[in-house]
Amino acid sequence: MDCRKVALKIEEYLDGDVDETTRLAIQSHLNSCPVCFGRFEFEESLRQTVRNVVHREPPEKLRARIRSSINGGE
Amino acid sequence: MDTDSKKRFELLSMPYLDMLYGAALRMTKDPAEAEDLVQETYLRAFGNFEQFEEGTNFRAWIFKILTNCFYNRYKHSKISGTTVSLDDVPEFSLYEQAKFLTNERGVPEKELLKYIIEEDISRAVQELPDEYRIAFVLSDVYGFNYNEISMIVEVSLGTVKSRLFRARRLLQKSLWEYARKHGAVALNDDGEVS
Repeated sequence: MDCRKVALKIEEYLDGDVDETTRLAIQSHLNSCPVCFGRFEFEESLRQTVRNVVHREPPEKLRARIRSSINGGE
Repeated sequence: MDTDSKKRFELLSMPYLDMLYGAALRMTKDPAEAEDLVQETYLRAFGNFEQFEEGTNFRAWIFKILTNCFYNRYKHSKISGTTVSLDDVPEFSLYEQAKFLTNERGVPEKELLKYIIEEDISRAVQELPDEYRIAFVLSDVYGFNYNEISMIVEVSLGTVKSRLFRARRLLQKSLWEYARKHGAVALNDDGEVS
């Protein structure tokens, strides 16, 4: 697999939406191509950064309210 | 519902409260509304728990209820067209911009991420159209795969992929604009690096 194809497939690869043959081909290319590995690392870091920011913990009172609803059978 | 069923529902559902609230907050964009939406989701899921097939994907099942509650509550139609057309979505890659900076300035690509602050990421996600934002949050924040998103949102796999592709392009374009504002790169009036 060449760099152009890897660039096109990198999102699906990160999404886990490639078949086994493609996954192995991309993995092998990433192991030997520092440029594509840089792209992969960047995309992965970006996702991690976004994930950490976007998620928010619920207030504790919500947890208590829901438990009470379930156990109270409301 | 008998005590065993209540216990089983609680055991299955409570581990997903954090994720449900996080997703609800991104759907409604308001903490109080998000709490109400999650509360409604739990009540509906609890009321329909007998319809849940043991051994199937509970996480996707309860997220589908959350999404339905959101659409019902805000009178949105899941099949309504988005306000953003394909032509409006730029072919944009933040990595390509970062690489350009690396070549021009010798700054490593990942340095660009330091110029993107939390507030900007939140704002960029909030600015995505509903359909794109929901697919994006389900995939990139909570790790649902295409099949699960297709089931939750009730659209085809192709539509899921298209929404994700567009959401990421729009988000990256916004993040680039914000990074520029925070000094990652200065552009002159012609849009060239100065």
